Amino acid sequence: MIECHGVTYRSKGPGRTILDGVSFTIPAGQWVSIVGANGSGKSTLLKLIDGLSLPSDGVLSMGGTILTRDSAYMIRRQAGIVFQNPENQFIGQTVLDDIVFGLENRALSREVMHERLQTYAGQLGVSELLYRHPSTLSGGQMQRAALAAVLAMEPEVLLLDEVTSMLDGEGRSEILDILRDLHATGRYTVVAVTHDIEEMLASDRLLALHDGTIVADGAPKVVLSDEALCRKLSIQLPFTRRLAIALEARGIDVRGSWEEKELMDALWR
Amino acid sequence: MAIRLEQVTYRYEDKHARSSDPVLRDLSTQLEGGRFTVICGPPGSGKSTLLQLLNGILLPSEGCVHVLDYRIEAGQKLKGANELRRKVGLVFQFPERQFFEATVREDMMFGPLCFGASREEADRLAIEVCRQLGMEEAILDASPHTLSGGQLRKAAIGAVLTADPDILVLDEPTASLDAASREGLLVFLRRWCDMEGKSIILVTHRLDEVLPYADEYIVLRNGKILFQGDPTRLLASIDTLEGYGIDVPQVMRLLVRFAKHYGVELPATGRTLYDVEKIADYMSEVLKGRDRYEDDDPTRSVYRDRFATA
Repeated sequence: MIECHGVTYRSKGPGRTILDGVSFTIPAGQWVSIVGANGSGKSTLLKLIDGLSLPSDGVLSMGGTILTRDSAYMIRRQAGIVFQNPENQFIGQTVLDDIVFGLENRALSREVMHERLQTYAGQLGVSELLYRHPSTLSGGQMQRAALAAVLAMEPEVLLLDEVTSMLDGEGRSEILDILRDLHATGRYTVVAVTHDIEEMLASDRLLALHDGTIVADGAPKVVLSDEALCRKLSIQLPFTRRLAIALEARGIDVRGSWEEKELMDALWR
Repeated sequence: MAIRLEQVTYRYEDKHARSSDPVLRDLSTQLEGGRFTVICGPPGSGKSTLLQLLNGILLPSEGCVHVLDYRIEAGQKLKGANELRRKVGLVFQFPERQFFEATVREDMMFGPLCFGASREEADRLAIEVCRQLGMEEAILDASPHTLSGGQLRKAAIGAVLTADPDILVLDEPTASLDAASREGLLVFLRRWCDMEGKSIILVTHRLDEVLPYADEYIVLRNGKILFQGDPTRLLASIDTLEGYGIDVPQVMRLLVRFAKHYGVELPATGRTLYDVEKIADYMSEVLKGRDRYEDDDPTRSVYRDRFATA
């Protein structure tokens, strides 16, 4: 469980307030999308949750541990973070190096490392790529390798900073399928900063940030049905949803479709 | 003719001068000036390589690239490379990572200064580009680190525009921008192309984002041109492209299937079609027309019922 009470974050220097009194609770096992325009404070919030920065004010806790300078390492052990650009987070010379890097740092036995490598490389479909140099991988493959490296640390919380934004259509759907599978295991709490509407719709809940405050919190389709709010958040609804709204305005019943398949079923009368 | 490729092949060579399979294979095509061209294709199809051939960063392994008045030929030293690079502005992926000055102004002035402009002239250009981009002048004195992602991207593109290129070449310029910044950038590029009569060549893997803006499309696959044409032709070729495993925009797929299902013509209004309201108009006209038709003609509904049960 992640709890955030009145969390404020001011940047150093001129002291701009980036987050202003943010409060929410994320129960274990939930998949939350953090959404908002560029500069709304999303990535800052994610860094605070991971204990990479400390709040200027307010209390943040993960699994009952309150974030302080001294406890930050305990929080980082519970959480694994994956960033936007897979190229920037690759440490090893091969996929294998990258996955075992974190495990070696934890001083795990060879047996345990081997077992985890098998499990998570298999789960993310990178077993065939273990001896490949990262530069020979596609964006989707690299991002899967990065996720495998994070999962091998067996975190309870997955923090994802726009992990699909640099991928092409195929890479995006690969990662999205994996996130759905991981979520279905119920083992992980997922907090994902995203601009990707499909990713938002796949998650359980949207937390919308605007100028450092939470302006909406609820089920994705409910939050996204508010057109004025979407504009404010700089979220563009998926094309099929916008078309469904435009068709409804012309008196055509499309049964409130969101997805391409639903819309086709409604239109192919 | 702004750009002409003549049987261009490109292979990357490793340090032992062993060459691998060609990334681009025997490409021949031409692009007119003053247009907004989009190049797309799956990863590894040669998009970024093609971009780098356009301003002589890479030289073709075989064949010849004509850009403006320049010939970039295999095995020949490129003449006038400096001037060519001023005229063909190349914006790499994540251009904001290439900021290296303390202020946005200094960075935007860097290009013109390198190409021999005076400080006053370079400063004037920075201010002018800043206005064109719709940014406040105050941004010029800000440190790049204090700008938001969208502003930073624009400023970085501005740093290429200050050199006053004739052709602007961009590699995935909308990646990781939010919807509003993305649209703002594309609207700006379209306007720059229209107002200044200059050419834009943009690589993207998100075809759906650029549909309302581009005049011409090139789809690359395995280093070859799979498709080249205007928006109307692109729409008509969607089934074929999908057959080749190209990720086609949802809107095009939906339109093509809709037209096929109802046995009607595809709308042929080019890039201006890609407005939700226009597509809704088209669909509702087809649907309402069909309803009227069915009311008048009972045999038609009988046919439809049989069709439905079949």
